[in-house]
Amino acid sequence: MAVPIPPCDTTGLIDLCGRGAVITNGDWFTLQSSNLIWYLVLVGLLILAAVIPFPVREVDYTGYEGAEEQGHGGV
Amino acid sequence: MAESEPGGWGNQPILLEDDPQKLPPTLRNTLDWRGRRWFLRAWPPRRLLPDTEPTYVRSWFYVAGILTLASLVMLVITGIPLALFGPEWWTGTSVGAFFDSLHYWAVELFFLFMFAHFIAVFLMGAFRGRRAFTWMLGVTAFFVSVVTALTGYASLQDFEAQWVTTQGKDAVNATGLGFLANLLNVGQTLTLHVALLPLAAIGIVGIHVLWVRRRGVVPPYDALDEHLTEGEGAT
Amino acid sequence: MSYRKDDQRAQRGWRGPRVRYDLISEGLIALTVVALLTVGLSAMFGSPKVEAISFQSWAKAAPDDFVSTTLAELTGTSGSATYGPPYTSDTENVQSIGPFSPQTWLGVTTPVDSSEDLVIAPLTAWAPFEAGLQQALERWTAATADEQAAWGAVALDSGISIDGTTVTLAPKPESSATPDASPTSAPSGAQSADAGPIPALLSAMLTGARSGALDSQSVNGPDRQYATDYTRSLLYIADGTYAASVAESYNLLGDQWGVMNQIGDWPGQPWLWWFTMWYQVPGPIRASFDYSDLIVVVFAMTMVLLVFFLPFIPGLRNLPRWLRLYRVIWRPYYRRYGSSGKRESR
Repeated sequence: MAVPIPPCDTTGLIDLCGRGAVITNGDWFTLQSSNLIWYLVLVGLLILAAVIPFPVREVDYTGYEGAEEQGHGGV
Repeated sequence: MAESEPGGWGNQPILLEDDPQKLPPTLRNTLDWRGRRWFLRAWPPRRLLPDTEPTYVRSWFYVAGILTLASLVMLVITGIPLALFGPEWWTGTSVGAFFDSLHYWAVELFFLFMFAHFIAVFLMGAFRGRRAFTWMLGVTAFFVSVVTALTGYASLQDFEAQWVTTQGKDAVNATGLGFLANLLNVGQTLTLHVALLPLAAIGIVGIHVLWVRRRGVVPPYDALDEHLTEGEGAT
Repeated sequence: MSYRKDDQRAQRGWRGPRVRYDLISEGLIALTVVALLTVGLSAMFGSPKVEAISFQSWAKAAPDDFVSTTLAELTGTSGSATYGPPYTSDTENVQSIGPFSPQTWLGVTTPVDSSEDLVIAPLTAWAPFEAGLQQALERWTAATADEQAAWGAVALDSGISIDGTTVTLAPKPESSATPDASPTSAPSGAQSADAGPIPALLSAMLTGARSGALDSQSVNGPDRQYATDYTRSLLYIADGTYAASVAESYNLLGDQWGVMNQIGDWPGQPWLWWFTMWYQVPGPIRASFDYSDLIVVVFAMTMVLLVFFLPFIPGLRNLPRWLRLYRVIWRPYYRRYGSSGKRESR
């Protein structure tokens, strides 16, 4: 018997209240598509981190105190 | 009187070496002095706030940690108004509901960046070289964060909280911890969520960050010999 | 290369080239990025708001379920009435792995008497308003445990029909259609009487629930001005099937990785996969432990401990070395300076 369900509400501009897709593979697993997107974003971030070069500026110590005297190296 | 260190900032006497020979004999065995020496050796100011890092720190993978930290700050910032105005505000008004959404998305980002950070430091083998303690603090921080998030869901006072707590209680009860953490007691879950657990999480994350600064970022596998010091040290 | 050698090399300090790095500005940039993302995502998608189920909304939406759950609470046959510690003292449904059953170690720490706390207590508060209820309640409380059990058995074996707020118990259609071998089976039509005051009590509960008189406070502690402990009312609601129907319609059921799911199409708690995955594992594990929470907790905590002690576990701690994905992370370094591994390679 279909029972009345309390309504879902949100302050977001895009309403995600509708029942989303659930990915299932028999007994093995069922996974909400929104959670799958979360995992895909994670993998995407890692791939981007590997692909995009990170901007850095090499430090030229020539004529200045060496790195070790500045407390970086050593104990 | 402590001698001013050459290169000190302004006229502030900054004691970096803390050589006991420079101290009057009556001051040479105080716990304050020992604590100060330990702290300054572990965290010389330039290691605590570095202006350089080894050349291999040139990858976006290193940004995941600070993004996690920033999300934690964001969680505290968005949590404060929720704590101030209380459950009726976030369940009953649209402004409150919006701040509830801010807190919700902050936690989604927090764990997203934390997972990215975890995967990055695992792939680097970042627990090598006396860094196991840092690693274990990180795992502990993750676990405490998970429990904090669960108590957050339990404190929502909407249908989701009803469902999560009545389902989750079985796992808590099965472990015999029902006496300690009754998910169905919203007074308990709310105080855990806004007071005890965040304090624990922030404390553990704080020590984690301090130990990252203390040991330095792990050198790459097969780093060149001429790039490494002879003895033990930080990077 | 052995882990020990890798470990010792990593203990040495760095005297190689350095790059500019500014921790505080990186932190400020990170905070700005996270703040913009948080505000943007919240404005765009918000978060789900579904009001909690109250006794009133439950009794209005699913009166049949409310009444049959109330009957189960009254007769002590509901899930919470037979739960075991920390709510009740019976141990039939307690979770265990062989003799290992931490659920029982501390006994009943949050006592819940389903019949008394969830049904009789609120009815007692309303009884002065209605003579009929007063009589039914007196008949119930004056009866011996055996009499109550006999009424309960008849009621549980009956079909429930609801007209407005009047609950009547009638023999189930199938029990009259199929010949019943049991000699104690009552003739049809007589069962309503044999259920004693139960129909009257159920009618009163339904009336109270629908009017809003039955609220969580009257179940959790009618004698208390303040209350934050919703154990009793939440157990009551969770004993019914209505909450599960609502959960099902919003993707929250257990076989949908419910613990980490979120209402509708929002992301939930995907960081819990290492916990919820054990509810999914098919085959012998799931069959033999039947979704037991205890075995899931044991597996999940084992995983956490393995990761926690990873730096000390031979094999596991060498995994990053074998995976060689560090070559991707430190590619600029290796490309520019080479690696000692290549030079020393034999």
